[in-house]
Amino acid sequence: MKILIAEDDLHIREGLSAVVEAEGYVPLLAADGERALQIFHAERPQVLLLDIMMPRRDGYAVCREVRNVDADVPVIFISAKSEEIDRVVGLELGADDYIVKPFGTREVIARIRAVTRRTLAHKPDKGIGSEAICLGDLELLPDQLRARRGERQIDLSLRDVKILQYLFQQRGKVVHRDALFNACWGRDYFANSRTLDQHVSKLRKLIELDAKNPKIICTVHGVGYRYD
Amino acid sequence: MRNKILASLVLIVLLPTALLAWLGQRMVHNEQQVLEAQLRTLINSQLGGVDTSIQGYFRTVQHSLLEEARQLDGSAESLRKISLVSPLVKHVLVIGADGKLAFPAPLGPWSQAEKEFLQRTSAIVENPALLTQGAALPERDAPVPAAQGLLSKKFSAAGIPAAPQGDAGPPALGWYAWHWNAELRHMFWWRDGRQRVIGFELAPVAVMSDIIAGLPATDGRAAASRSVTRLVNGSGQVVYEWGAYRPAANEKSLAVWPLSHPLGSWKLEYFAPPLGGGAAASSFGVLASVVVIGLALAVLALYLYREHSREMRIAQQRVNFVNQVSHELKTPLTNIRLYAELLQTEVEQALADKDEAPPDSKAEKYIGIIVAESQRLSRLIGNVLSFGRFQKAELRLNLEPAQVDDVIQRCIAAFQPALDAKGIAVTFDSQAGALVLLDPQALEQIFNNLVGNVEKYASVGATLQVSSAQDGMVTTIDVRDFGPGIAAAERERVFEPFYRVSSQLADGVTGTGIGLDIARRLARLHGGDVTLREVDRGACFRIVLHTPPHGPSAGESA
Repeated sequence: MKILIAEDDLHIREGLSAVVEAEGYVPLLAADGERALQIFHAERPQVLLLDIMMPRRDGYAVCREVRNVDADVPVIFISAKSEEIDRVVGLELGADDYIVKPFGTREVIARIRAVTRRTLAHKPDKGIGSEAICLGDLELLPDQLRARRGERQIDLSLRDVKILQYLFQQRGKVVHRDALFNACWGRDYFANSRTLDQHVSKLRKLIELDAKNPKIICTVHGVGYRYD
Repeated sequence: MRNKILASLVLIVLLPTALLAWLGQRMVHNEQQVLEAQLRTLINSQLGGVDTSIQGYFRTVQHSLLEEARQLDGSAESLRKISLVSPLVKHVLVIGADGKLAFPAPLGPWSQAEKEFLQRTSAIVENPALLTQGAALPERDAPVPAAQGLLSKKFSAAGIPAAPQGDAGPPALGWYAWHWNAELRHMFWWRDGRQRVIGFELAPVAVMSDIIAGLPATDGRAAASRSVTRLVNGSGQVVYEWGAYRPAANEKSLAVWPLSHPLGSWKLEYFAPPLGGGAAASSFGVLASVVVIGLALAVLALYLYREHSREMRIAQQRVNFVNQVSHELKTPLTNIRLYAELLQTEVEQALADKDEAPPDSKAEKYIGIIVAESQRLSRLIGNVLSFGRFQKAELRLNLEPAQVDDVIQRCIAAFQPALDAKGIAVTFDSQAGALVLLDPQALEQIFNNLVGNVEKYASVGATLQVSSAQDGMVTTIDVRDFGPGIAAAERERVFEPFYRVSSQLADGVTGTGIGLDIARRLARLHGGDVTLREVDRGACFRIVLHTPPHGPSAGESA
């Protein structure tokens, strides 16, 4: 899934890009409204993160133009003001949510996941699918970005879901690190060698009963991972 | 606000001015009345003086006539002689003790003058009682000092004895006045030792000229030049007048003084221009001073208003400046939070890679502090901006379907590192999971302000208990700590803006003093309140919010 991030502040743009990427999305960056529209028309991202105060075209104008083409694509506004007027105008334009500055990574993640869930429920994505799968005692609900163990619900990122789905498809086989990386990050993604392992260890903390002694994502030393 | 100040300033100007004008008007009115009364007294005393002087004249005449009468020997010769000798006496009438005419001789012969005289006095001759009913001169009043100027020396009443009055029996002398041919005539009568009544008819022209000679001269040098006094006879004709003022034909006299007997049918009339001129002048004076005072007050009020507006403008500029700065802080603060949290993730992963990661790594701790502090700064900026918006009454809620427990969970998660660092353990008894309409940002701000206080002041309690409950349209959230608590006297004051509890505990802890104020205002905006509950230990704040359940899907998660 692609997310357009239109924000004039370089550091916020790149920070948001890092957060979104870690979640498993492909970030598309724009520093102004014109560029944001160009990227939107060329790439048709699934989610839009629009700063309101931008040079050349502000977030409202971009949103208005996008709505002419696509009435459904979720739009999250980034705003320095939480004043009523912004919200009213934004809601008229069909904004899905707001992130008010100053925000932290958790807020961004929570909102993007919420929007993604709504989008997937409304318009299922072929790559992700909506069928629930069972990994031992863990039930994975891909289109809800959640897993369930008994009564307990676990919030997952898009990337987490992709990894678990891939391992399930290849169940019983040893999945090579490169194959898993290509499937879940993409071929043109440059990452250091630790990225995959770091992510898997984080995911284990979420879904395994004992992260030190994993039952779902087992390590095959020197090669990769396996799910039985 | 502005209108109220304007209205009160207008009142400040108008009220005293109106009061002054009223008092001034009253003063002028009273003054005028006093003046009029004084004038009336003066006029009356003057007119009374004139009357007294005329009385004096009659007394003088009476005195000299009595002298003459006493020298009479009763012969017709001597009686005739009187009228020849005295210019004042025209005729003498004698009525015998039997009540019959004794002189002029009843059977004649009469001269022409005597004939006319008898014609004039036929009524008296027929009925002598008529004459003796003519009363004596009235008892003399004490001379009126103000009248002195009007009295000629000739009429000075001093030294003239009062008319002798018999203690009993019929009066012994008196004056009789009657009209003959529209002319007032006077007769002085005296009852002598032999009970004869002797009457002296006076010559009217002589009497008139004597009286007029005794009055002030017509040119009015003696009288006030702005007035005129008229002597008016019984048929309303002006006999004599003095003074320079010429009244209009139908002008009313200021004062009327009826003259005493024997000029009883006559009167004095006093005319003068109305006092209006003086009253108008003093009215104008009062009006002028009221206008001056009113103007001075208005200028003062205008000055105060301008000063006040300037102060307000400066205060507004300060608020705007603070708001502007707060907005400007948002972007750098976003970056600090964002990158501190990204770094936190990195550090956690880096530490996780080393299998035997020390649980209290310094890097992790430092980043935790940066994250917690940037969150604190975010809350502070949020509070400052909310406060500014409250001042401008701009803050409104944005209700949306949400779960109260979700919001609280998120807040607690964000606070976790900071609370961990202070050694405060959190328990959350969540009983408010229904989907309701609320403003999550407002709830976040209220809750964060309460938990922020716990973190700041109540770390010694080592425990933070949060519980939520829902009942129909109402959500209740209790935030309880086991710190030093709040003294009973401070319980309400802590909600006042800028109020900070002064104690050893709070001294040295920074804060703006608007957190609880904002929490309470937001809760009230949300149809509820924030209150401080009484507990045996620590402090327990209760948030009450009006939260209508959202639609038929209430209870499901979003």
